Formats: sequence, structure tokens, C-alpha cells
Amino acid sequence: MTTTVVCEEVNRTFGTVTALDGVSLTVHEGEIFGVVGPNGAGKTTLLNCLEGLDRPTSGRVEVLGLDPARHTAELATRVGVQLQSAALPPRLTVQEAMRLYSALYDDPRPWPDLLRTLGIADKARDRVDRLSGGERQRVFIALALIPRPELVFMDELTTALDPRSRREMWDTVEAVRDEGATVVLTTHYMEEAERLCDRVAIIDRGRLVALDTVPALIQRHAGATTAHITLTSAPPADLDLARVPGVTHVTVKGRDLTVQGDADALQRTLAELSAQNLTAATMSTTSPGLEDVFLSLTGRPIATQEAAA
Amino acid sequence: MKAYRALVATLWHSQRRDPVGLFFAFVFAPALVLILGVVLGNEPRPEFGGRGMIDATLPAFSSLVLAMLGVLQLPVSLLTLRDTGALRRLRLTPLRPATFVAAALTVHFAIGMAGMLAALATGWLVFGVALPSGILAVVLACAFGLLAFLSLGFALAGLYPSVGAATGIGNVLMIVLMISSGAFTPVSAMPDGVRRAIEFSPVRQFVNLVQGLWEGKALSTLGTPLIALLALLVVSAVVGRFLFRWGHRA
Repeated sequence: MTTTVVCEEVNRTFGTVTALDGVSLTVHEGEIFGVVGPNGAGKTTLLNCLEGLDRPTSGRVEVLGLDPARHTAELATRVGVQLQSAALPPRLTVQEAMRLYSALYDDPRPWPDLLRTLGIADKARDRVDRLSGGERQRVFIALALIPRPELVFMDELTTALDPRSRREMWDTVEAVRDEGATVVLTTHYMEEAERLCDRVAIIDRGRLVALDTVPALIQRHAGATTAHITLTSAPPADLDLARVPGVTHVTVKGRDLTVQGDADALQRTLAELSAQNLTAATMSTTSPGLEDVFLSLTGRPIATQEAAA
Repeated sequence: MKAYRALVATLWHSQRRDPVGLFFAFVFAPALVLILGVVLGNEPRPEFGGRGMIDATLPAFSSLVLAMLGVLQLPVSLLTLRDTGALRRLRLTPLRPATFVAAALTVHFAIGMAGMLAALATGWLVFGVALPSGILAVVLACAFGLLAFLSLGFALAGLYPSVGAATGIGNVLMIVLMISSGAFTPVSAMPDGVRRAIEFSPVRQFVNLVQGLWEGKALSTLGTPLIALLALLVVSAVVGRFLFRWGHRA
């Protein structure tokens, strides 16, 4: 597997503030890699170091085999960037912005195709500052894709978007990856990381606290799935589901059972119920997510309020 | 070259949709010629050496465009691009800083030349000011002066801390420079001390140069304003080059 991005013991301090504290990670070619964590965790600082806008105080960063702080010119033609605080010269229309950025590269992707792919072809003559938030983000994605990048950085792509635009944006990101680019994105929406990312690096207070696929992180750090089962008849008093291997917690209230454990344990629980001729009338499960992983790793819930940015 | 042309086109579209900025650069100076000409008339007056007010001061009006573009509009437009993050994004493309600066200066140079020529043309067409035989030299001097002041604006863009500061300080500087141009006030009627101080104003030096050429003086007699403007151009360019930044330091 080819590595696209390498960070080794990356530190970045601003005066007395430590923004990044010994972050080491690698991003593989062709994956959607998520950097998640609460606001202020250091996600953007990390991305800035990878984009060459900033450089680490110590440690090593490598992007497509190059040092982003030194090989700015070469990386500029191979990396696409969508910045959190993206901007264009004021009062431009979409097509004026597209023409400008197309003229900056030797072999640009034809921008009318890009606008069509991104669903904003009918906005070409509109001013960028009069578009909706989702449409504007698409413009900046189009700019990032014009150089036919091998690697795309996206910083808080869906912040300030409504839920529907956010879901559409996820499809867009997947399409970018399906065309062969590696995607590194930051987000503080756990749902976004769960839905979109092949692997996730969880950053908290400048430190990398975990890195793996979402299912692996959940299994290792958030464990139990909870099943709520209502039986057709009350179980016998001697029903002892706690003996089922892998079950961590059981409560019985009349016909209502609550069973906690890993996915295999719940399977065995159902088998045990059938063996005792007990039938489930209704059943629902709640699975842990990345939020539970973050809680278990840091002892703090990640702030999930959708503050309008 | 492709990048330069595209940037010039883009920055022009960006500027031309800002009606306030364009109005001041292009319409303000000719409008002022028109208003002062109508209000004060162009009859011969003793304080203008027996000439009419517009006859005597027309070249100085073009200096208003210089002052405005150099200390206010160019720095504000460069700082707006920097503070909004537009430059930060451009930095992540193969665009070279020199190409960006050249394109920004080109657009403002074109706007400035149009404003200066419009001011001169208003005096000529509306008030019948006689054009000098050396009109080409006057136009070239206008272009040279404009370059020097755009260079100043490039340096100021590096010195002003923010768009807000550029607007505030720039407005004050602009008014000081405009007053020192001699466009509104006959310099000959000023007290000695003020007259001597005014000679240190770069706008006054520009007016001396253009007015001199307008009156048919030989270029060789205008060494002081030429050198003063050249010094402004070179020093500002060096300072501006040294202070140029794509964005705020992280």
C-alpha cells in the first residue's frame, strides 16, 4: 500500500500554546482519511502543515514524498485544497473564478464538466458571494479539483451546511475518491466521519488519541451494543442471560429485557431465548458510535451542538 | 503570461463591480474640475498670475487620482484580498507572487490613467484650456507619477495592519496629500513655511513635474521632481517587496 501522507512526531506550538503534540500518522493512497475532534483540537493546524501554509515546530511531514514547506511549487500542481476560510477576490461570478483557476495550471480539468458533476452548472453566471452555503462549497471543491489532484485536503467541508446539503456533499466526496484521488478531511461531526471515512484519526487537545477504521475503533473503545427485547410472554424466573458468553449487562422487567454486549453475544442471546421457547415480540438495538469512542478515550463528550458557524 | 492575463481580467471584474471605488478613481477628479470650474469660473484672476483658475491648476487635478489610488484604493484592495483569505488560496496554486502583484498593479494603473486623462480632457473640452504642444510628455509624466504612487500603495499594503486601518489612515493621508497638491489653493498665496513644507509632498512634486511640462519647461529643468518621484518608486517597491505577505502569519 502506497503512503500519500506521512507525519512523524509532529509538534506545533504557538508561543506557550501547544496546538499539535507528537502526532504521527500515515494516509494510504486512495482512502478517505478523516481527522476528527472537537473545535480547537488542532485539526486545521495539522492540515495547514500538510498544505505548506504552516510548518511544524518539530517533527517531519511528507506529502506525496515531498516536504510541503519546501516543494510548494510541485505540490501546488498535484494537491487540491479546500480551505476552511476559503475566499475569492470579491464580486466574482462562478465562471470568472473557474477561468482564473484554470489559467493557473498547465493541464486543468475542463471546468464546465466539473460544474456539471457538482450540480452547479446553472450557477456559472451567478456571483459566488450570492450563492447558498452548499453551492459555494461546491465552487471551492471545483477549484480544488481543477488541477486533477492526486490528493485533496478538505477542511470542515460541511460546517454551516444544512443536513441535506451535508448528505449531498458526502456523495460528492465519495465521487472524488472514486475518481482516484486520496481525500484527507477534517470534521467535528462524528456522523460524517462514520459515514464517509475509511479510517479516522481522533485528535484531542493536539494529541492523536486513536487511529483506525470506524468499526475497529468502536469495537475496541466503545464495545457494547444494547438490545431492547419485549417477549410475547413473561420469562421464567430462572432465566439467566448473564451466563451467555459476551453479555455484560442484563435487566429484566416483566416481559422487557435489556441486554448489553458485543454483536456475537446478542446473537447467542437470541439463540438462548429460542432454546427456551421464548419469542421476541419487538426488538430494537442501539449501537455505539464514534461519539462513544471519543467519550471513552477522553472522558469527555464531544461537543455536538450544531452551532451556526 | 496566461496566468497574468487571467488575473488582470479577474481583478478588473472584481473592481468594476465595486461602484464606489470605481467612481472615486474615475469620476472624482473630472467631476471636481467640472464643479470648481462652474462655481469659480475660469476668468483671469490675479492670484493665478492673470490666468483662469482651471487654466492655472488643471494638471494638478490629475494628482488627485494619484493620491487616492496610491494611499487608499490600491492598499485597501490588496489588503481585502489578503484579509479575506483570497491570497491564501491563490498561494496554494502555481501562481508566482510577482505575477499577482504585476496583475494588481496593471488593473489599478489602467483605472488611474483613465481618471487622470478624464480630468485633463474635462478641462480641455469643457473649459477650453489650451493643450500644450508637449501633451505627450505630460501624459508620460502622468504615467510615471502613477507608477510611483502605485509603488507607494504596494508598500503601504505591507505596512497597514488591516483593511480597517488602511481605510482610516488612507483617508487622512489622502486628504493631506490632496491639500498639498496645490489643486485647490494657489500655492503662491501661502505663507513661506507652508510653501516650503509642501515641497516635500510627493504629490506636490508630481504637480511640479506635470505643471512644468504643461507650461513648456524643458525636462532638464525638472530634475528635482523627477528624482523625487523616482526615489519614491524605487524605495516603495523595495519596501513593498520586502513586506509582501500572502496572508496573516499563522
